[in-house]
Amino acid sequence: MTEKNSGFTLIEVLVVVALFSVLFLALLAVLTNADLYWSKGQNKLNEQQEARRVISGVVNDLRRSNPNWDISGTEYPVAISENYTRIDFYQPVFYNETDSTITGLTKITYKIDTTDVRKLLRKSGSDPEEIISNATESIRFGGACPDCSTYNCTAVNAACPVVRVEVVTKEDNEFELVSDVALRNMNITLANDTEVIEPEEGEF
Amino acid sequence: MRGKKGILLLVSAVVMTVVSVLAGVYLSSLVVEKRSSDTDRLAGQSLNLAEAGVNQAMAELRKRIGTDLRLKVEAIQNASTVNAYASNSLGFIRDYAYASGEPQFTVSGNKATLTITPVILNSDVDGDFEQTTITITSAAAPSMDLSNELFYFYYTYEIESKGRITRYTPALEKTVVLAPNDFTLVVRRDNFAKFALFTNHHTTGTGTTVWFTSNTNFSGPVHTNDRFSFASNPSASFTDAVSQHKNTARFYNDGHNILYLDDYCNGEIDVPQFSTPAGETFYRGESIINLESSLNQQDLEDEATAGQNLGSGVFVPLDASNNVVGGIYVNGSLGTSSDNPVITLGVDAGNNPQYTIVRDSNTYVVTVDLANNQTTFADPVNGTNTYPGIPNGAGDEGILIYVDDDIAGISGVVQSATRMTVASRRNVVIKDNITYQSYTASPLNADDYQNMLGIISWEGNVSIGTTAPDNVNIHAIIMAQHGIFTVDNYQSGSPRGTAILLGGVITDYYGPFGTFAGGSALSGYGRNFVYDPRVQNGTTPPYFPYMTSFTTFIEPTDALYKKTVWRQKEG
Repeated sequence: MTEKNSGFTLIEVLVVVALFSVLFLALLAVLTNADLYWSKGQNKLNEQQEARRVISGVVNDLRRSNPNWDISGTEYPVAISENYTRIDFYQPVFYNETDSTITGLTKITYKIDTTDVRKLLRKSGSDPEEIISNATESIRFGGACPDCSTYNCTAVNAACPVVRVEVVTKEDNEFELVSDVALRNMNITLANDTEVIEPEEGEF
Repeated sequence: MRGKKGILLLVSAVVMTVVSVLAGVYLSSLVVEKRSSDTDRLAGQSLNLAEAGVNQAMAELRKRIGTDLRLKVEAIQNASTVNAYASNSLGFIRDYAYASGEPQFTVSGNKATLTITPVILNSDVDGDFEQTTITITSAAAPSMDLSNELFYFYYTYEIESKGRITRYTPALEKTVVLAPNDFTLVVRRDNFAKFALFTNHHTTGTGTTVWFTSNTNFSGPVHTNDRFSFASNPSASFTDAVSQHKNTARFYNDGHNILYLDDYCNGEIDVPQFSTPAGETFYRGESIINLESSLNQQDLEDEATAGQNLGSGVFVPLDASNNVVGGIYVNGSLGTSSDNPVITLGVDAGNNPQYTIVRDSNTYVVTVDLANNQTTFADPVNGTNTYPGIPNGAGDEGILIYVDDDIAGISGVVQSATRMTVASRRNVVIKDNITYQSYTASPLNADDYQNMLGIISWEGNVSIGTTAPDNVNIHAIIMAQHGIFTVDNYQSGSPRGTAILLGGVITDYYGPFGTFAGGSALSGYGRNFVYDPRVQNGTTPPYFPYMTSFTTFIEPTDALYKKTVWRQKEG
């Protein structure tokens, strides 16, 4: 071995650096793409999960309701308003775990927050409002009776006690979930002293 | 060169490791997400299973109470059998609400419970709803009216159903409760009004055969203690059960060699139209139903007279304080036609029922003010007087007109809020249309209204008179316990169309309505008897004769159909 063979020429070093740069850039591109697709996949999962969570909560509340509760002639209907983005209805309150006597009605409201349209708010009776979702691109409620072919009824009646709920969530792309909910509590006569728990006027 | 290869290997290993880790994490999150979405979907399935269990339980309850219990009660002959449950209403459910071979309700404390055997689900459904339970409690002590053999059992039922999905451990469970719902079980003597057609003998009084032809249509149950006679193809049509005591029916066979067959048709020659193609609702060899009633003619007369001994004329019996205590009573000379009354049922300008009775050239008008519970009676002797009370018989069942004579003619309109019975010792002639004030013309029914009329002839016939119009309309349940329902001069003149009856006919013999040849009408009326299904829920004309067997009704009638409080149990 001679002294000349113990080192690299400038050209050799430059070629090696160039080769490594190309390799590094290629690796970076792979990792960046992987991260991008990971994020997209994760966002899609999040959108789906969020939509399912939102619709599950709304459906769970809605199915316990009645199209038009009546206490001593005063009606407590299901009402859809604010361009189909708000729904108000009443849920029964039972005497206890084993006695299914209805002692009260709690007003439930779902609506979009006017200051941040991605927020879906829920209000139960006089409890403080909750933020149900921060990623709701849109929500739509509509009576789903036969004469509401485009689900544009704002009232729900006993002949067809069904509400359609459409939820769209968005992180990257939109994900839409739709569910038709049949209201289960029907044919009920409420006692005159049934308590109604609802927000103060103008509170929500 | 060896050193460079080593670096490339190292870089490749790093890339592979990073990509593998990323893929692993991503797959892991996919699995978690899959599990999460499965949980959502299966939770929905378990809720659906629970609701399916509720629906199955409601169907079972309807079968047990509406069919099994009723069939067992129909075998009861003595009121004492029912009265034995006066302090044990849950025992009544346990002992009667089951079919042979089925488990009975278990009574413990104040509850009768029944666990439903689940239906077998498709193999691709990972769950069941084996925990569906019906619980019946006594809502109040039974009430018994022994003199009228009437029993009321008050119940509340509740259904709890648990849906389980067993794919994951622990199993996903949702429990739905349907509660509480009240119903009253009424047990009482069965009523002849429940038949669209009942005959004790299915011939005329002289033994002449009256054939069912295509001009004869019945909706509602049809029964004879004799045998039915069918002619032509198509022959009569029936929409409900047809039953006869004898094993063979009579077939016209084109007029040659009349046949007696234990069959629902005579080949293609005589083919009655039953509600099932194979004639499965034509029951032969059924038990005789005794036409004698537990309510007899004297009972009805006593209801009208309130036990008073009245002379000849038209009466609205009063008590010592001038309160109306009976019905409307008309008494004449039997066998003398000149004093046979003509009765017109009507409605006055104030929508009150008004009955105009012309007897012996005198006109009597009885106006019943239902809202104010008073009766105005205008008669030629005493003028017009108003009395407290209404002429609804001593038992307050409903308006009662009893004629101890023949009725020369009856026609008119039955006021919409009135249930009434017109009873006669002898013959009754329908001289014009008799219609309910409130009814639906198409399809013909009075399901949503109260007006109901019973016409009874105890010893004679009920007939459609010669003055009645073609296509006469008669809204009434007609009974001739020892006679027939027929058409006067049915065998002469031109065909008069169809006699349309909304109600039923219960007679000793089967009266002819017309004559026919080759399936075409020659004279008289065809029959279109439309059943009044209100009688199946226990609504009958007042004082209408009861049968010797018992039956049951559920009040309110939709109690076992409508769902009320729906509740999902948490946890």
